[in-house]
Amino acid sequence: VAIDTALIAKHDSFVDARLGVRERFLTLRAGSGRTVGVLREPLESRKALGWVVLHSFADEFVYLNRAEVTLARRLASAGFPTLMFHCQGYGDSERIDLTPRFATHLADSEDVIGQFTAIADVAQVGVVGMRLGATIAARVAERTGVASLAMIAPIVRGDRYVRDLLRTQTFLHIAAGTEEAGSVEGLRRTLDSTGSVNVRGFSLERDVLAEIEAIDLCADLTKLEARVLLVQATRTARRESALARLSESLVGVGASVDSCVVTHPSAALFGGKNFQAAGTDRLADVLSGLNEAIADTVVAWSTTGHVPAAEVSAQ
Amino acid sequence: VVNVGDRIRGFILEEVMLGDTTRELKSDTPLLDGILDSLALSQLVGFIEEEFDTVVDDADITSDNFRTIADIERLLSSRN
Repeated sequence: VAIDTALIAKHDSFVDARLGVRERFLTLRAGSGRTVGVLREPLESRKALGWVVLHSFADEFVYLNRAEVTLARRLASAGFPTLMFHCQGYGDSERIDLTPRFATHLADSEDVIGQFTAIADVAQVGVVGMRLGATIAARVAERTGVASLAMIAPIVRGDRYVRDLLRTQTFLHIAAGTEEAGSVEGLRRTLDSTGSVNVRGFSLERDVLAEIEAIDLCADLTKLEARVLLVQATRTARRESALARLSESLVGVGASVDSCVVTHPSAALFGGKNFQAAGTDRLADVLSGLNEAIADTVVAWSTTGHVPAAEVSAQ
Repeated sequence: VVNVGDRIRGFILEEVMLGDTTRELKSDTPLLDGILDSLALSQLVGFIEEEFDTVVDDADITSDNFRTIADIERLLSSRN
């Protein structure tokens, strides 16, 4: 049987002429196996800096994908080659059987960043992540010494993040009238007795959650000589004290930090489901405006070195 | 001055019911019978924590505290 490699090569990419972007599908080495990546490159005027998007954890991995793709396409359209990939244990990875952990996210990401400059033909690397992906990006930036780091609504305290994860399951039970099956305290008891707990369909293991609960980003980072963009996504323009502390800590370990608040009515849902009922017979993406505003902010900062304004209001 | 109940009512009307004026939303309207789903509950707790500068404890995340706007008001007043 003859394999038509030219035909295969012809279909390994897609050109979006409107955005001026080519999307190319790659096989990458990531930790304990291979994975699939999507490299988005500008058709013209390529910048020296390229971005690697580091995805988040559990169901946020699914729900933040639209925001990550929006950002990656915008960055590529503005001239910055941008790579997205799946860590081991997620959809397109070879080791789909593995339980993803914070440590495997870090190792897989480091591995991919090591390949990125050659793949994307860039001189400098930036890493960007959202929610726990931003926390991972900060730790990876410290370990790899990349030039730029963009953190979108980062998780500063892992114990708070795990609490919120468990709460989302409790909200499901309350709304379904099966509360006795899933109070936060009940879920913690289940976690202790069985070693795992179900949160919105994801089985989360006790030791994986314990690893995340131990995260205290302000204390964990010890040296970070990078340009950092810190974006807070919130309903109101009130600055979160946790992010203010993180900004101070980043400066304290050597980073140059720009902060920005992006406000949106649905910002509390960032990291959750995009689609909500809008009337009796249709759903609407309630986060698209926020995703666009975040992308605008990161692109502006990447291009000019400044945030467009201290506060960005998105509709 | 807009009171606590009106601020919560305003949030639910605007952000959860998306301005649907065909349904009444009184202090004793059952919220868990078709108004608040799990996402809306999550959004509401986030709003309460931010708007009233408070932290809702895990033990307070119960249907008894979120059945009506009056229940939520009682929860918040018990914390002051």
